[in-house]
Amino acid sequence: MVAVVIAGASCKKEPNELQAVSLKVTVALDQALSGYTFNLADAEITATNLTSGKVNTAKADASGVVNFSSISPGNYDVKATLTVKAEDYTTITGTFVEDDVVLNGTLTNKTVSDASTSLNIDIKAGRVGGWVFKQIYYAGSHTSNGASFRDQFIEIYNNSNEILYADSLYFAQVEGVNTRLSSIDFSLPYLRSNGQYDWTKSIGMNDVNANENYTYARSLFMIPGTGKQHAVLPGKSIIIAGTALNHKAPFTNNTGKEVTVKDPSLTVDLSGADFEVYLGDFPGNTPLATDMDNPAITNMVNYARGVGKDLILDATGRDAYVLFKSSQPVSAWKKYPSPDETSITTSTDYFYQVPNTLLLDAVQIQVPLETSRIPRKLHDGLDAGPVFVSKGQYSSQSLIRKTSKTVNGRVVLKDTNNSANDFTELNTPDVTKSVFK
Amino acid sequence: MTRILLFLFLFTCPAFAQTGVRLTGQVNDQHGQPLAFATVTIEGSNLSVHTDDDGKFGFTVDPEVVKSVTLKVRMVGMQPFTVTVEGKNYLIPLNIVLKDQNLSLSEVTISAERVDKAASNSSVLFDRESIQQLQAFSITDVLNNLPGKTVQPLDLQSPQNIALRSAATDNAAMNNAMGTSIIVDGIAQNNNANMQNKNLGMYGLTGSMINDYENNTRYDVTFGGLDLREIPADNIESIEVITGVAPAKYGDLTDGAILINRQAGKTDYQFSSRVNAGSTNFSLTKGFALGKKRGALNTNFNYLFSNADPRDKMKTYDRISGGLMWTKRFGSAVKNTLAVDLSKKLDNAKQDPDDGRDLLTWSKNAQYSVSNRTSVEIRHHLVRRVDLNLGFNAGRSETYSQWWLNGAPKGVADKDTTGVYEGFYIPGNYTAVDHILGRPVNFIGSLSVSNQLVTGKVLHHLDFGSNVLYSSNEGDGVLFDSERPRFANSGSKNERPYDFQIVPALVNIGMYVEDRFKFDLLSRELSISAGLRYDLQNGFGSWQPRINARYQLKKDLSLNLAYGIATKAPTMAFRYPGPTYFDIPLINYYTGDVRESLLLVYTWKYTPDNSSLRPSKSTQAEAGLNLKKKHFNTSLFGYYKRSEDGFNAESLIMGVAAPEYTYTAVAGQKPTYAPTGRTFITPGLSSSVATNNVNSDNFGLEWLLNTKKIRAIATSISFSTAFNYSRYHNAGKRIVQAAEEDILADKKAWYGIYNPASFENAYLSSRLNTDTHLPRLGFVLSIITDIVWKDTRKSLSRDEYPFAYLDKDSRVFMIDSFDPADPDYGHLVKQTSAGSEKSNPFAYANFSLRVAKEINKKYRFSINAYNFLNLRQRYYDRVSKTLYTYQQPISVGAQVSVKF
Repeated sequence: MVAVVIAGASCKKEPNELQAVSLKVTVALDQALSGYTFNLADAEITATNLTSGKVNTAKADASGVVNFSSISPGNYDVKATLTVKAEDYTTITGTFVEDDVVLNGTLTNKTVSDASTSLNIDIKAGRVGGWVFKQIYYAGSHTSNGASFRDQFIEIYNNSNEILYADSLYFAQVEGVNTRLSSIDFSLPYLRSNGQYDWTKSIGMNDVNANENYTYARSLFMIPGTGKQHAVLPGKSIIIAGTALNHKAPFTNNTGKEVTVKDPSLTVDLSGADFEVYLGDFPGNTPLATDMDNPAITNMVNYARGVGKDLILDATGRDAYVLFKSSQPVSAWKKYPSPDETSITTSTDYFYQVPNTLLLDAVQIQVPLETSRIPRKLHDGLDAGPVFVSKGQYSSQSLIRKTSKTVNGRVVLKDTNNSANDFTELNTPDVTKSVFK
Repeated sequence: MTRILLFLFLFTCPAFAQTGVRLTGQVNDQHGQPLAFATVTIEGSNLSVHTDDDGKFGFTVDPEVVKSVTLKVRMVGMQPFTVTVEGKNYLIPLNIVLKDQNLSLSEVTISAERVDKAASNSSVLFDRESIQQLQAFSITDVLNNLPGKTVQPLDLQSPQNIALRSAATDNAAMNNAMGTSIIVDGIAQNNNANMQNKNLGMYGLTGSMINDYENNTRYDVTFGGLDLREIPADNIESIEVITGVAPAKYGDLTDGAILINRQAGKTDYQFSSRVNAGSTNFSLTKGFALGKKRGALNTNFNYLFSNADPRDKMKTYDRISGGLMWTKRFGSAVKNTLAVDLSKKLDNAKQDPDDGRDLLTWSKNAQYSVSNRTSVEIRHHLVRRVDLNLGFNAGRSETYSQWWLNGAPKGVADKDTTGVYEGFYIPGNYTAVDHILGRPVNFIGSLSVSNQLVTGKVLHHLDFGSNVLYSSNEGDGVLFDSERPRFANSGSKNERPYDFQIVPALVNIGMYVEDRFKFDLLSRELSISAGLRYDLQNGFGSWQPRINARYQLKKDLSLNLAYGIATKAPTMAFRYPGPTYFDIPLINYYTGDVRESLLLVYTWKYTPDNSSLRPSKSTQAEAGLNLKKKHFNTSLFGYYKRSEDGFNAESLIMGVAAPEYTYTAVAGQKPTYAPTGRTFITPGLSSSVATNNVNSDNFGLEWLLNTKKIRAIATSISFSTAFNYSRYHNAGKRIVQAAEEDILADKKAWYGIYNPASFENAYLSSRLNTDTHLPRLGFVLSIITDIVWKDTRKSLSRDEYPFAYLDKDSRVFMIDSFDPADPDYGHLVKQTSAGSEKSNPFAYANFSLRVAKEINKKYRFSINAYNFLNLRQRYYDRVSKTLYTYQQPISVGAQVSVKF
């Protein structure tokens, strides 16, 4: 990893004058890609002024340099994106990919106030795989009139061109700091400069790459199966529900009358979900009253419930999700307490250490309100841009991955490893698996 | 029992005839009119008489034994009068003139004072004038002026309790409040029949009280003392607070007594009206003289309405009370007082139409009480007076809370005996209701006999008597509806309706004997008040010696020593909390359609037997010095109080073996089911049970200094500093589940059992109170400075290692010495707060102000301001990441009083 260096010396600002300044951004390949001859001149750089929202976009030159010669001084988010065509990527790296590969890099909240500021940005590639999150319904529906968090679900899509088996596909929520950035005490020894946990400080950890190479699972659920039980055709998907009931009318009484929630239109019928999470029989768990076990729906295999007593996605958006497969049994993996734990007690939680190389897809959700945002749990290589539903928690909105193209009737979903670009939203979640955007 | 009677008999037997002369007097007002029902007390004795319709009174005094007497004459609305009569003047009739109490009098006591000839060595007295100056909405505002307390802004929106002589908090403070007896006109008011809580076994102590989730507070005081908000201060003549050793005649208390004397006798109409932010209070009192031979009738009416926030009406507290008290003499010897009182309160947290949860909570309380006190003076050489006090009160307490629940369908069960039953499913969307209807009934009777007898040259004032306390609750109880539970299946437990009418009544009996005498020891006077009390509470008898002694080291300096034991009976809520019902699911097969769903549960009923619940107990020793100088008096008291067996609830692990069942799904129908013949144990099932596990050691020092009025600045100064220190644990053993990691690893120990956490609290505060009184202007200005030097709470115990553990089948294994390497339980190191401390890093002060101006001796205008400088000192604790603000915002009130 190459550290980001901010060049230029500080000087006093004239408070009353607002003079345009220049910003030089140099794009370079991450160390993991060094030696590859991607054409940096295709890299697109955007510098977003955080105060005015003004977006400056430019293409890099052959050496990866961009000069924004006249921009307003202020704080900027700078992003670099280089899309390498699938055939180019295959030629240059020798690794076959079906889709174009997107290299991303981000700098957040950089101060550009000097007459000329230089920034370096490293870009790296995320994984490109067959299983992707198609729909994430984390927001839930109205707490009084809808079904609150009970109707949350995720939809997982076969984005490849061949049959995939969902057996032993893992879904995890990522552990991390959930404190809003403005409230974080950055001097705490167990935090990194971005506000997230420094996992190298975990009790029992002796891997200097604990942050870069791994993701830590707060909850961990696996689709059961022998290996060839749950075939999913290309362009098809499966739904994992927290509670697989018809949340519009979860109760039919003795006379056959349905009892609905106050406003059934706010929620969804998950009685047709493919899988559900049931933690009522999880050892040591005091069952949650809302965690019902629909006998008709296959239950997920539970490895870790985190703090939840069901599959509970953070409705406010302080979550990140990953999908992975492992040839080795997860139960043999290492687990670590979060880095803020100073001793091991009965209240210590442990988190599975998931190698990033196994990840098939990763999505970082964020809180809509700027001032409430939390440090990201996934680094750029896994997900370059967080995403959220615009109306926020309990709004009945779900995130849905955009369509990239249609090949012989099969919809290929957009997967640039930048969720902000890849996802859009639905005002009513889709449980028919047939809606594409 | 016979032992006690024998004891009493022996005590009274050696009495012999007493001869004496008649000391008589006449009490008039400033206009020469005789004052009936004035109280004349011989200080330091048990003798107290009332003037007759002609204002006359008399005592029999033996000049051989009693060299001089000090008489104190009190009358409602009048300035108290004290006179000392030497033996040679006993036969000269006294003429006493009482002045109307108003701010034009040059000597007015405005601050509370320590009284040295009161019921207990370290009593603090608030008389009418100081209560009036406090502009109190309830007696809470008065009691906040005790040494060691600080002035608080008005809070009428949540129950108010007081803890005396302790710095402990939480359950220890609740027990202290419960053990502080409030005695109105000789009749103890108690909370013993309060059962306003849901199932104790399911919810634990505080969790079982209905909570207002909107304001995050509870309105019932089921496990604490009476709600002091409900006692207005307007018709109170005096409040004496006993924080030390109470006389033996007071039973069913551990931490002190608040003796309230209400006004009796002819008075003007007095109307008061006061406001403070959203709170308004009106009061009207009047004492009528009904004419010759008909006695006096005192009436009072009080109405209070209060909004938490004057800008809306979301949370209100209303209180209305009224009473009649008829005082009448029958002949010259019998005085009878009959009082009827009604009161009503409503705490109302209203529904917010914009909140879809339909949340609303209210707590109502209505009570009527009838009390009759008969005092018979007997001019017998042995028996001087017989007092019979009878009190009856009955109330209706109703607490209701609702919440629109939006959850998943739930399986519930409602059978009330142990067995395997089919339960049923309820939709997840309904208005959940918590509703408790209690009808507490209390009867209290006490009979006391006052004697005098002489042994040698020593005069003994001997009192003995007994009292009975009967409490029952006739309410419909917990009106639980299993179709709309607030919480279902929590810890596999469910509520059931609980009818209070089937609960037996509590009967507590006590008896006492007390001797007050004084004699000269090394030619200095030693006064001793020694008593012995025996109480029979929940089947436990306890002997309670109580002694207060005062030794006059010098003419103006006395040494005070006291020692006493006191007990408090368990209340009905602790004694009869109702059964706990476990509904262990055997089959929970839910498809969304109840016609093809099946809930099979094993219901297990646990009925707690609390017959072994002991009374809580306190043992107190106190020493003090009292210095009375011409211009000031000062006192220094130290105490040690050990409180034991305080009431609480703790978890009891239940290893319940439930039969195992299997089912076979049937398309379109309920599944069929059959037992497998095996049983299983649900790990960690527990029920809260009432216990005696709150203990505390309390130490303290109280230093008071009062100056007489300093003429040059027309100001009197009172200064107090109090230090309270408590070391306590207020919970029982704690059961903590092992980390999920270790449970998943199938380690043997699933739960660790740990010693309770204990704490050390210390509180050091001072108060400087200046009262500037200008009689010619009828003007008083009081400035109160409260300084909190130290307020710390420290967690002490090393509680990270368990002393026992439970496996998943709830079997208990003891751990002799903890070994972290043990494969079975080594993982049970608990997070501990030991050593953590909360403390203010700097002393902080708060300034309050009270001003009163009287016009024409009839109109009195007062204002008061808490924290009138609006200081808000703050401190951010980096360790706990907590911001403390030490003073509350400014709070201003005003009062208008009219006499007519």
